[in-house]
This record gives sequence, C-alpha cells and structure tokens, in this order.
Amino acid sequence: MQEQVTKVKTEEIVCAPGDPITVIRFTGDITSTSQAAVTGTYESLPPTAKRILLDFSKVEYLNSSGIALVIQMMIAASKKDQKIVTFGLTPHFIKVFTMVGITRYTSLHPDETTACAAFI
Amino acid sequence: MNDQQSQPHAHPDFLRAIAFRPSPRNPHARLISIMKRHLACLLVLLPLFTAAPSHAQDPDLIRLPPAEWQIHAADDPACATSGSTCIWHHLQDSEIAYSTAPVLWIRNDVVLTPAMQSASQLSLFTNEIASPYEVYISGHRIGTVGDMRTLRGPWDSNRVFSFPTSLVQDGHVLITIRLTPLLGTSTSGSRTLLLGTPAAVHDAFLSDTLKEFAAQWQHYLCFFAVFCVGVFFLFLYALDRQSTEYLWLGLLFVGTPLRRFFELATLVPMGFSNSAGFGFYNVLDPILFIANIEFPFAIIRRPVWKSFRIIQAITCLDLTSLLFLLPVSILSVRALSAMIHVISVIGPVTSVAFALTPLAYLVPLPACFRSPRPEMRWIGGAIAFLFIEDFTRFLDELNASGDVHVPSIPQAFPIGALTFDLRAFAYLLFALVMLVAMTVRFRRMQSRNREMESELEAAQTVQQILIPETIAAIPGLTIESAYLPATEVGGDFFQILPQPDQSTFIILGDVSGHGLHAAMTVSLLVGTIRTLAEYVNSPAELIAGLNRRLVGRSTGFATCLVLHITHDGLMTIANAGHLSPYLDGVEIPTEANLPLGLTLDVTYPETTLRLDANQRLTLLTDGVLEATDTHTRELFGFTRMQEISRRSAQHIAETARTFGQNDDITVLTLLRA
Repeated sequence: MQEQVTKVKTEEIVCAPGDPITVIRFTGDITSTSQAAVTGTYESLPPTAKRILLDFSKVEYLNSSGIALVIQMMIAASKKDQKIVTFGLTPHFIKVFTMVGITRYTSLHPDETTACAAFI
Repeated sequence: MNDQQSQPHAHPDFLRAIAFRPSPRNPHARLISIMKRHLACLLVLLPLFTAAPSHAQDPDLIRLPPAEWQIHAADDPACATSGSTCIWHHLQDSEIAYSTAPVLWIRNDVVLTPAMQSASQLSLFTNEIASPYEVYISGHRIGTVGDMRTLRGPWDSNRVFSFPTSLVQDGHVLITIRLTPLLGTSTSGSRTLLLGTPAAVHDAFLSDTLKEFAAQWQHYLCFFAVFCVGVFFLFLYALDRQSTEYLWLGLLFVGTPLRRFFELATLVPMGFSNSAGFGFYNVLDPILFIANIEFPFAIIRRPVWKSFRIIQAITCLDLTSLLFLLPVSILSVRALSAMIHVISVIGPVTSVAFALTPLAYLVPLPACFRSPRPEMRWIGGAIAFLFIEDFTRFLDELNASGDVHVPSIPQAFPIGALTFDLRAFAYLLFALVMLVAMTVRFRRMQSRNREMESELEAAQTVQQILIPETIAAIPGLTIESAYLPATEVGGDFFQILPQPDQSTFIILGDVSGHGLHAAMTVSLLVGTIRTLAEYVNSPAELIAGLNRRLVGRSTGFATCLVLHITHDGLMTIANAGHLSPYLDGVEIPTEANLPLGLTLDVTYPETTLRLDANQRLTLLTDGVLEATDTHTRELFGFTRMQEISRRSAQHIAETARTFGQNDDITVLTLLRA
C-alpha cells in the first residue's frame, strides 16, 4: 500500500466563547513517519495555545505507531493543562481511539461544530 | 513493375551501394564507408574531417535549393512538359506540407554546365519527399518511388535517378516531380536536391553527409558520453530494482542521445528508412517526457502528483509518430494525412503538456537541499541547473517563433568553423554531476541496505525465539495460533504459560514500531511476563508490572491483553489498549485503558467471564483490522472481523493477509472441551 504523506495545517479560529482555538488539521496517513508532523507541530504551538482542536477528517489511515504519537501528544497536553477536543474520525478509528484510552484526554466528536461546542 | 527498377543505371539502394564504393574523387570516401559501420568511431574522429572538400564550385554538379523550384498545386499530366498550360509560382516554405491539393507538381528548369552536357549520363538525387512521387526529365518519366495509383509507400526520400544526356534540350533539363502532399513533411529541407554526373552526385552526397557530422561533432560526442552514463544507470538499476530513480535516469540518458541519433537518421542514411527514423525520433518523445516526470519524484521516493500524471497521459496522446512506424503497405498517403490531421487537433494541448513537464524538476529541490547528505545537495544543484537550462531553451524557442521577444541565452555559439552547442555541453555536465552524485548515493544506500538486512536478520532471530513454535497442551482447552509476520519485523508477541494450579496465563500484545528496536522491546516484555507469571495470579497485577517495566525505557508503546483462565473456564482479563476478544462471535467489552509504557498514572481493571464448554474465544492483534485493500485503501475493519470471528485462527489470519497485510497478524483461539 502506498503511504500518503502526513500534511498538517495549523490555524486559529473563534468558534466558541473565550480565547481563540488552535486547530491542527491533519491530512494523509499518520504512521511512524509522522513524528515531525504530529509531535513537531504540537511542540511548535505557542505556550498561549490552551484550547486545541484536532481535525482528523482528512486522515485516511492511522496505524498503531501513529496512534502512539497522538497519545503522546495528548499526555503532553494534559501535563500543560491544555484542553484537546477531537473530531473527524471515522467510526473505525473512534472505536480504536476509545480502546486505547485516548478518551481520558480528549472528547471525540463527529464534526467541527459539535467539537467547538465542547469548549463551551 | 516499379519504374525505378526498370532503370538500368538507377540504384534502388544507392546509399548502401555508395558506402562501399571507393571514389577517386574523394580521398575520404573509403574511410567514410568503413566508419559508417562504426558510428562511435565516426563521432570520435569527426574533428579530423572538418576540412572536408567542398563541391560548391564543382562544374559537374548543380544544387537545386527549394527556393529555385516552382509549384503547380493541382494534378495535370501536361505539367511534365515545358509547353504546358500549368500555372506555376515559386515554392514557398512548407507549401507542400500544408497543401490541400491531392496531387501537385513542382518543377525546376536547369541550365547545365558544359561539363555536364558532355557527360553520357546524369543523376538526380532527391531527398525529404516522404510520399510516393514520380520524376520527369524534359517530359520523360525516369522513375517512381512508391505507387502513385494507390498512394502507398515506400516513403524513403533519399533516391538517385539516372538518365541519359540525350534528354537534354538546348543545354537545359526540365525536372518535374509529381507528388502527393503529406502533412508534416517537406520537400528539400536542410539539404537540397542534387543534379550532376553520377560521380559528382555521389561525392557531393558523401561530402554533405560528412559536413552534417563535422558541423556538430561535439554535439554528438557529448550525447554519446551521455548515452554511456545512461547505460551505467541502467546497470545500477539492474543491481537495485527497488530504486526506480536509476531506471528513469538511465532511460533519460539513453533515450535522449538515441533521439538525437534518429534525428540524424532523418538526414543521413543509417541503414533504415527516413520515415522509420522520423517515427522512432518522435516515439521517444513521450517516453522521455514520462521519464522526466518520474525521475524527480523517484529520487525523493514520493508518488507522482496527480497533476503530473495528467500531463504524462496527455503527452502519450501524441501518437502521430507511431503512424510512421506502420508498414507502408497498410496506409495510403491520404489516409495517413487524414489521421495526422485528426491527431494534430490535440497538438496545442500536447504542446502545453510538454511545456509544463520541466516543472516536475522543481518538486525534489527542497528535499534535496534540506538533506544533510552532500550528494543529495549535488543532485539538487544538477537538477536546478537542468531546469534553468531547459527554461532558457524554452525562452530561446519562444524568440525563434517570432511571437514574443524575451531575453534569453543563445543555445549555440559559432567558434571558427565549429558551432559550440551549449545545450549538449549543459546536458553532458548534468549527466556527469549526476553520475558522481548518484554513484556516491548508490554506494551509501547499498551500505545502509546491508546494515538494515543485518538488523532485520537479528530482529527476526529474536522474534522467532519469542514466538512459541509449539503450544503447551492445556487439559480441557484447545488453543490454536496463527502468526503471519509482515515483510519487516513487527512487534506482535504472545505467551501461553500454564500455572502450577492448572490455570493458564495467555498474553497477547503488539509493540508499536518495527525492526530491531521493536524486537528488543518484545524481548523485554516477554522476559518480564515470564518472571511476573511465577509470582502473581492477577492479570491486572501482571499488566501493571509490565507497564512499570516499560515506562521510560521505550519511545513507543505496547498494547497488551492478559487473560487468566482456570481449569473450570473462569476467565479474568486485563487490557492495556488492546483489541477486545470475541466470544463465540461477540465482541467482549473490556475496560478501555492506556497502552503500556506511556505513563505510570494508570490502573488496569479486570473483567471476569466464563468460557463454557464448546465456546470459542478469539484474540487478535491490530494487523487483522488494519489489513488494507491495496487499490481502494479500505480497511478490513471490525465488521469483517466480527463476521469471521468464529472461524479458526488460521482462517482469520489468512483472510486478513489476502485482504492486504500491512502489519504482523496474530490470532489466538481458545476452544473449551
């Protein structure tokens, strides 16, 4: 299977009352080769980013190594008191994320609107 | 019978015959005839012949350039004679190629020199008439090429027609040619028709051929060197079939000089017809454009972008040249012209695609220049250089078209009698830099591959030791296992450990990552499992112990499911982020929890249930669920898994493998008697 490169786009939006929300939008596959895209992007966020929205709606594939990167990012965020909300996962990966206990660190939502509402 | 064959003094294959016939008029003729069989030698020795004798003042020869011809754009047999009523005007550039007349005539009234008038025979050498035609001298037909009735080939343009001087009238000969226009071809391009005594025509042809080579010997020498570099890259590809960049680069460096060779073949005899030379020349075009796009992506190991795939597809639509490779007996000139007309409609689209192709060379530049490897930066520099060279040529062609005027670098510089071909030298420089840089890269990658193979072997050895080859017999329990490792070593592991109290620990896990690192983590976990299993009876305690051992020792994580089953079927399960097991086709919900190795701040609750007689419990790793269809990228997923979860371990594993294995696949089934 031809692996798709992980692409990341970061932006700030105001979709809920309070501070702006930093959105990290992932595209492609998230695997062991995505460390720079996942961990690197998270570490480059300014310390003022306290509300983070993860957009997986254009991610086609995550394997266990990719999930490991996401979990590590979330554990790091919880240590910094950052709130992470996630949306756009397929039902398959919602189930996988739930199984690996990611829901300890984030809530999972079907779309951006409901995800924004979770910040209220 | 073909008219030409009926001519006693005509040579149907004059060019081949002339090559082996020494001539007293040209001291180089014998040498040339030998060297024609050894083109490489000829290219190398061409500088020696730059001072070839000129026939410009030869009293036995008259050159007939296109500008001296007249045309009558209709068919009239009376045009063969001087007193005809045909309406003649001077032949314009490309007028024949784009004429809509089905048949037309061209003529030239030539005043012969006294020397030619005194000869017994004269010869007319024609070239670049790529369609059937008839040649008349003073109203007498002296030869035909192809069949003017059916308008079928051969389309070889280089022919010699001989005729007696008795056809000369008052020191003049009226040459008329009846022909069918063929789109894209012309009459008399770079070389003119020749009229003279047979020996003079023969020598003039040789001299002209020599000049063609001599004028551009450095051009051909450069491309011969590029060809050798290309062969070297194809050799590298033969050694490493995984690295397609060598294949595409090899095709570029072999194909570009070959294209030049076939271009030359349309001008000078190379042992096959001009139309075949023209055909091969153009057939190489789309192949080279495809390679030009494939190589930049292959060098950075990325798939070709869809936009460039579209460009490749469009370049392949230009099939005009393929028509010239068809047997001449299949198509008439009219049919061929009609097909060329149809295909020419897409000409502007293919031209745009051709123009966009060099943009592919911009794609790998950031990766090349960011690379810590010096050879990659050299490769980036060479590619950038080629792009600039290509772009300046594009500007030069724009200027040549006359439509626009933009600053550009001339592509050729005259130095004395020679022309310094900037493009050939630029391309050779590109080839040589790539030769050095890619060779260094090839050696580095070979070295790295050897290291990786060594690591893989070591990891596989560790893995084989840790995966049980035989499963211990457990009274009242039938355990089946299926383990299908992926191509590279993954991190699946399982252990079945009978306990003194007739209970059994069954542990299934998956370490993230691959290779020796994952194998060593598995080794650490298995060692810990075996130790802990001697002291604890609780899956939660065992799994917590594994977590403590792994935290801080690994950058990844491991999912793990620990099952403890007593002799009467009571099962206790603790789960660290692993997939839930299936009991008789039903997924058992277990408490979701973090995988091992991430944090100490975690507790692992236990789930208890019973495995009754004839019930089947199925445990699996994510290699089953993450099996992916190669074409659709669809995951095997939970639904398919549930459908086959009552089947044997081997069946489940094979089904996932056939679907599209990505990762290690491990399946365990427990059937209670």
